[in-house]
Amino acid sequence: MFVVDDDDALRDSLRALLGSAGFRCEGYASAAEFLAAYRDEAGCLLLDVRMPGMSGLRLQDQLAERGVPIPIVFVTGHGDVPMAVEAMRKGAFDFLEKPYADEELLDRVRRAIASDASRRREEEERRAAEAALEALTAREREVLDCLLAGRTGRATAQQLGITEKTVEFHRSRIMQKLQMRTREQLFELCRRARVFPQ
Amino acid sequence: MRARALLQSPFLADPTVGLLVSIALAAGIAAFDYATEYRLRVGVLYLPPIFLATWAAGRTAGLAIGGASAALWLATLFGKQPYLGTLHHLWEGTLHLVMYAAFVFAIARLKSALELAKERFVSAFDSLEAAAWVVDPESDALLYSNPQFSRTFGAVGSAGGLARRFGAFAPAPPEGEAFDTESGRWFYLLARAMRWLDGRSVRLYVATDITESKRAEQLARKQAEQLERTARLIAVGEMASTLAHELNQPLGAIANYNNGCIRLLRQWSGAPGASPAEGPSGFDPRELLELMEKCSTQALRAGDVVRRIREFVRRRPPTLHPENPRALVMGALGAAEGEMVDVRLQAVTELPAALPDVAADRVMVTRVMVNLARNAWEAMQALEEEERRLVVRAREHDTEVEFEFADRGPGVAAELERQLFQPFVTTKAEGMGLGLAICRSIVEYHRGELWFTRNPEGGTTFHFTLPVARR
Ligand SMILES: Nc1ncnc2c1ncn2[C@@H]1O[C@H](COP(=O)(O)OP(=O)(O)OP(=O)(O)O)[C@@H](O)[C@H]1O
Ligand SMILES: [Mg+2]
Repeated sequence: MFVVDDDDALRDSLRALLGSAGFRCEGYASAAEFLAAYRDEAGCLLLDVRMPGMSGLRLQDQLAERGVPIPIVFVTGHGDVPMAVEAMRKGAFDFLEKPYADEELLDRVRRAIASDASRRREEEERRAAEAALEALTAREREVLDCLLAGRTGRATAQQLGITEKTVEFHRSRIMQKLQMRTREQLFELCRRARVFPQ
Repeated sequence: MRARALLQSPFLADPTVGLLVSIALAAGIAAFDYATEYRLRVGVLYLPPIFLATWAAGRTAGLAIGGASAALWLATLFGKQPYLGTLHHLWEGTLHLVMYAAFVFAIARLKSALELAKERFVSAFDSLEAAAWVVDPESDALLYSNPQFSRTFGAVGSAGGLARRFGAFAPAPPEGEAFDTESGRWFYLLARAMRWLDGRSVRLYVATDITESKRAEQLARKQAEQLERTARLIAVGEMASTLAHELNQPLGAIANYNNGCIRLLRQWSGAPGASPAEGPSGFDPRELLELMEKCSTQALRAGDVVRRIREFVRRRPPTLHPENPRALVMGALGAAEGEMVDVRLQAVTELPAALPDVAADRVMVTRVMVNLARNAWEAMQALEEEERRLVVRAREHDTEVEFEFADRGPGVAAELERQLFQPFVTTKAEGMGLGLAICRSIVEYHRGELWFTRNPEGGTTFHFTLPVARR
């Protein structure tokens, strides 16, 4: 995980604490340094709201602009609560107000990392599902769409202007290509790939 | 004195009365002359009736009375001293006629000159916007008042009555500011001693209503005081909050280190083969653990104290109202100029005509702009007078208005860049280093941001944003 804070001692102490809890931690003294170094690694970002140069909020904006989905946990001093609220509104994962107990911090970090992991898993599945669907021919996709829409074999045949038998043939080809055994499995795959009936 | 009173008596003012009185007088003189058989030579006695007629009824009447007087005189002379001869009578008669006529012309001339003077005086003061009046300090009489006078003070009986309204006892109050207790307005009284038409020395007063400017002055003073108070409050608050922040950081670090240690210790003492008995000479990690936990509690407690200080300091929340950006900038530049004695701020504003109102605490935002303007000005001290120029811009982004204060100074020193906004960071002998820290706090109260950029052509630009007011 990543810590961005301009205070060297605070950054180092965070690294020690998080390290003791088993997190591997990289520290950056400024938002710019982090932006330059970050390569879409898994984890979460612990970010100080108030920093010279680029503030935490600006970094959040920059990350959003670049489409970087890393979850951000903001750390705020007391006076910065309105800014933290603003950060939450813009989609930050959570925020922590100083002073905090270590369990609070670790808990939030754990949840943020878990959320990142599950997002990555979903992303992975989606990509796999998409890749699998890529293997289908255009006609097979049409048949699949009809299937998803819940049409009967006859209705599908009528709509596509082919015989019911051909429809049946395509259907078994689809199941075979995607290595699906049941309809439910097929539907689940499509859901992951974000293919929905029109 | 009595002659003056006589001049103003009614038979001198009313033409008919004057003419009748003068005819009666002339007739009386003629009768007296006739009765005394011309022995007293009373020709010169006709002058008063002639004067009276001329003064009261004009030149023609004067000439008529003069002619009649000459005729009466000649008739008496002829009647009582017929042996003098015709030539002599004619000569004497002509002489008197000429003398009377000359007298009439002189008197008429004098009178018209006086009238002209009065007319000039009256027309000058009648058109005056301010109330004007003339007082005779001796008699307490109001000799003249212009139309504006009655509009301003209403019906006023005597000069003394008016003076009492101003809190003065004499009918002629002193020059200067005066408060009219009756209308509740402030006036500036201008007083001049002058000679009245008849030669009396009187006092002329002109009263200008200064209530509005007096009020504006008071308002400005009050605002300046409020601004000053807020500035001080913010400065104190900023100091305390900085102290709190500065303490919070190491405190936080201590707590983190400590908690890290506790965790490691727990893992170690909980690990197999790391039983307390195996520690060096009676060392029990659990004891250490207990102490470190106490340490953590104390660090947290200290953090809480600091937090309470900040809470106390930040009690005054900004009161946000929709404010016009242009008015904010103009007001702030005026205030900045007021604060920096003996400099004339050469500021150029580039403000679009239609900017939306921003949600701002006017007093606080003024503080921000004044600080930025002052910094800009101080940064340009080394430049020639005409080179020093501050450009203030504003522009609209959809939900924010961005303000820019651009100077032509030497720019921010590279080693200062990272801590510029921290309190007590200054390069100035007289500086407190609080200006920018205060600015940032205020801007962040407003949920805006403050930052700076270097101008390509030299100098620094400070930017800050304020949210657009929701309608
Ligand atoms: N426009 C500017 N150009 C160059 N340097 C600047 C400018 N504005 C600020 N600085 C630098 O930043 C420092 C901090 O500014 P800040 O306004 O916080 O404090 P200060 O002006 O020194 O003191 P004060 O408390 O009286 O405002 C300044 O001392 C100066 O070195
Ligand atoms: Mg300053």
